[in-house]
Amino acid sequence: MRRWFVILVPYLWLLVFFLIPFFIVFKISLSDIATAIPPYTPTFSITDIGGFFSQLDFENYTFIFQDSLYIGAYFSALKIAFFSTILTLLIAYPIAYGMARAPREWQPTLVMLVILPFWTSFLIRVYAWIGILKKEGLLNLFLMNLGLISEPLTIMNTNTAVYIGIVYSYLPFMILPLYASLEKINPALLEAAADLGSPPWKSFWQVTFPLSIPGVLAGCFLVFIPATGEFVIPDLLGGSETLMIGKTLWNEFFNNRDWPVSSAVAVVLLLVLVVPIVLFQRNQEKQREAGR
Amino acid sequence: MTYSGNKRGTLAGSLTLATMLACGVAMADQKEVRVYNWSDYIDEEILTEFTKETGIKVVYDVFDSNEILETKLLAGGSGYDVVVPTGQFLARQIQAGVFQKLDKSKLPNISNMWPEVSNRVAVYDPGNEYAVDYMWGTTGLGYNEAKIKERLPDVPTDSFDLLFKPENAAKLKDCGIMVLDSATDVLPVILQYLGLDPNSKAQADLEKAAAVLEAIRPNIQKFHSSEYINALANGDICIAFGWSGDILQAASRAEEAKNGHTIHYSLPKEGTQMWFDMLAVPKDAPHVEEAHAFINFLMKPEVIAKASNYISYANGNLASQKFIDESILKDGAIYPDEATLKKLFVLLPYDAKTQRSVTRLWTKIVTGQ
Amino acid sequence: MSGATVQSATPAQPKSPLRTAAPQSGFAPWKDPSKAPIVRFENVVKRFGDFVAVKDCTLDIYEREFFALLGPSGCGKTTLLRMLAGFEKPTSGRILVAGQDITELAPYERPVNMMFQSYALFPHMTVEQNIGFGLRQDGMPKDQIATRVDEVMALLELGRFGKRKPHQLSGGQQQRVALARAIAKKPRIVLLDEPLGALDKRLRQTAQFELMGIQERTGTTFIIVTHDQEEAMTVSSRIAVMDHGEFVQIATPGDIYEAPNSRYVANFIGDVNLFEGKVVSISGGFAEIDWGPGLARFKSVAPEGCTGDQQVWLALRPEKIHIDLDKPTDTSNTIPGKVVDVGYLGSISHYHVELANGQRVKALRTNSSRTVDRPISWEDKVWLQWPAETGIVLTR
Repeated sequence: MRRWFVILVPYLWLLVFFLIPFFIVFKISLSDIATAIPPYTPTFSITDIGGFFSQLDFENYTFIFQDSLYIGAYFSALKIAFFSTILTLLIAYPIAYGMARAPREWQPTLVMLVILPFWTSFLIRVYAWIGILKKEGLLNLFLMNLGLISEPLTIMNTNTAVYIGIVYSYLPFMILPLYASLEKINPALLEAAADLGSPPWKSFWQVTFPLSIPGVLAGCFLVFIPATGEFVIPDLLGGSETLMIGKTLWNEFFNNRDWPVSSAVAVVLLLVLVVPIVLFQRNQEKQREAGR
Repeated sequence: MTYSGNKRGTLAGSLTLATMLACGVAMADQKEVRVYNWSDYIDEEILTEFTKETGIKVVYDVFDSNEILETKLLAGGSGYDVVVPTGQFLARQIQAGVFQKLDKSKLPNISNMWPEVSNRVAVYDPGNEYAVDYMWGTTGLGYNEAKIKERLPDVPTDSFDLLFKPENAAKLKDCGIMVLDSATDVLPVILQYLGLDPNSKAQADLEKAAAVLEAIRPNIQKFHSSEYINALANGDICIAFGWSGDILQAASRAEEAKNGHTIHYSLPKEGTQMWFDMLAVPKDAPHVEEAHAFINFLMKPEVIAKASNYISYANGNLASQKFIDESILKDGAIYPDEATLKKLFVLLPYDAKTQRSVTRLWTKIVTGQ
Repeated sequence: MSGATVQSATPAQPKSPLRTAAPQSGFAPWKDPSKAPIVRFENVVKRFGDFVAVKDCTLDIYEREFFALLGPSGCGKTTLLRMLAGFEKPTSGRILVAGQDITELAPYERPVNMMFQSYALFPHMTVEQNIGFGLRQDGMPKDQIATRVDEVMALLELGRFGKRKPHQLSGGQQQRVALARAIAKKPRIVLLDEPLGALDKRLRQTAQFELMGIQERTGTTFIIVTHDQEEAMTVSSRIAVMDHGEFVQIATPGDIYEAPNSRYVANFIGDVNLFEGKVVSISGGFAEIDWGPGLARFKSVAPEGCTGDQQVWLALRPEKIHIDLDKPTDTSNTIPGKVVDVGYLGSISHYHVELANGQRVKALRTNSSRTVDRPISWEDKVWLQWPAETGIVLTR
């Protein structure tokens, strides 16, 4: 009994909080816009199930694939997410490496420091970046006082600011899995590599990095997936030309009040992300097997 | 970006998505009224006075975008008794069957309303059956006095030429230009500026308006519907096309901060949009009786004057004007004179199809795609 | 090596053919002043903060030796080994390999390879890749690497496992891969840090003989760190017994067993009975030891430099004591007692005998004939006796 319960709980969770909502969204994506409550038609009715299903169609999907706007937004979102992920990885790796190498007794404190920003609202932290990056912001003041630049740099409201914002916000999600995988590496492995004639930098590429790949993958997925749908950071830090799918979704839902089309956009976004999610899942499984 | 309708000087982007659970389950025996209004949009003493006078408890929640309000209303079962949508939104929501007709017999104070305003809002709510006006305002230019004078000493600030002429915009690029990220708030104003019908749905007209914006697009730092408040106040930008309330708020923030920036609101002579925030009662409101009592209370001249005095907005209540502070009543940016008032136009809501093509056009302007 | 292993307290182990081949009999380079050591620790000290892990150690190890560093955990044996591998730097002193000072060399520049206690196999590499790792670092051509890897895998009977990952192997197989990796580069010295600690007892005994076989066949110098005295006795040509960062005794297993230089060593290696007493007289190389009022004095070979009236301990291995129901005719070193415990282990039996003063003595008897007149049993009054040559008088 108890075993069944343990198995059932996660599936029940997925069913209630993922699968059912997804099917509701999917159903709406097959509907038509209407001036009513709710603003689409048909609505589900138990008395006329046949009539309900006969009114559903894939019109909204054909629509979003006909307008280059949506495909462009998907690609631009994927591009920004991809490069932010790479950047985050490049910055997070040395930090995680340093943490894993730090004396044991410091490590809990270092992990705390990485998590610490979460104590402050995400929005406030993104706003703080406005204060840093804007024309008369801290960064420009600092660089000008140092005499490194004579004219303030325009970073705010550009894609550069979006990258900074995403990298900053998602850094902990990259550092923590990296740290977890680096910290697990038996230090004796590096001694063994050195003992067999490998200098430290070669040992890094031959031993440390390959063994941290599960962490690299986990971190990359944890950054890439939410960054693709990111809305707040490009809105606050980006320029108007930063078109991401999150913004397009927002426009569809709030400006056009077109719940069916915005649902279709969301469903397609999910499908776009399902590929990396499945890859991630398979990687996790392989890990679990290898760990046995 | 469309936190559009963020006219009420909210803390920029505070994204108060909170108070989702204004539960629909109301206790019948307890007299209360659930109000959902814009943030920073009332003198809270008014709520206390209402409760003192009627014994009805006020549950007061705030939002900062019409879209958020609309989403809740369209999803149904919001649990609110009194909500405050802006005109075009109200019109569409009436069509969708969101609201119930007001029972005028329970609103004796309706006689205090200002016909000038009531007649205009009738385009959204024919016969004023569903809503009464709470506050109204305009859309115009907010600018930094010193920075504009320095760059464009000879250009008058009472015309949209200041922003819409590419040669002027080019000179302001370095000090920063922001424009509302809202097609429905910007394109009609440009149509009016071009001498066309601001409510035109003709694609050709809309493209002409778009062309004006595209010409100055390279000089615009960002399209955003709330960031310009802080940006103006801090001197990060020198001109913004925005809502009167937001710009006045930026002006007072700059004044309080004593940071050397003087911000003004200009209501350009070409005429501009006049918007209205309307009090309405959802069809599924749990406390209809109390909702009417609350709206009636707000239509008392001294009560609504108190609100206007507190938030510096014009209201739609004629009788209240003798209670309004001289400084507000005489401020042409808040209460425009007769001549200016004539040039203000009222926006009609777009149908779904026009809305989509306008949004698409706007995306093209904003992102260059 | 004088059969030291079979004399320890546990039952005798089956002799391996490798063991009897004993090519090291007569092998004693440490006695040959013309031989230069391959490894030399010279006044090596290692401190970790306030803690002194290794105190002024000087040690020579010779080519083809199987040298054991033996001691309890924390005695400094692992630190010594890690200094040789280069993972720790001596606080002072020098380490020389084949006459060359390697104290300052990085681990990857040293001509030694180590087999780690945890094996430290690279989990992301196959067995072949693990074994070939060191060869790849030297830039050996691929085909030569393959040949050498095959050779080593054949030597350790790993042929079938080349393509497997370490986690797909059993503990014993992993241990062999670790050893294979350590010898693949044909280093002059192989270091083994508790190499068999993770194996169960049966497997460990087989593995010990395997280790010796490999060492003999490759002709390499092996230095092993272990806390297991039996293991040290079995595999090594010499043992350094360590305690608190110092060498207590460095000698062959036989000498360590038969002639421990201290109670510490006597206790650490095998079972021992200790009698505390005083030397009262010395004559003809024999000391007379008084170990209590009213007790018959013991006679034993006097240690060098022993003077009268000195506190000493007589160390007596259980198998050196004859136990009998009848009083022996030779009355020297003869004491009566009562059997309080008997352990029958098949080939041998051991007895706990309580003496008149309450001290307990352990004695062993081989069950050589099937039917002894009468087996010694609980509560029996017995006589213990040993020749004067078998006891060791310890002064510390």
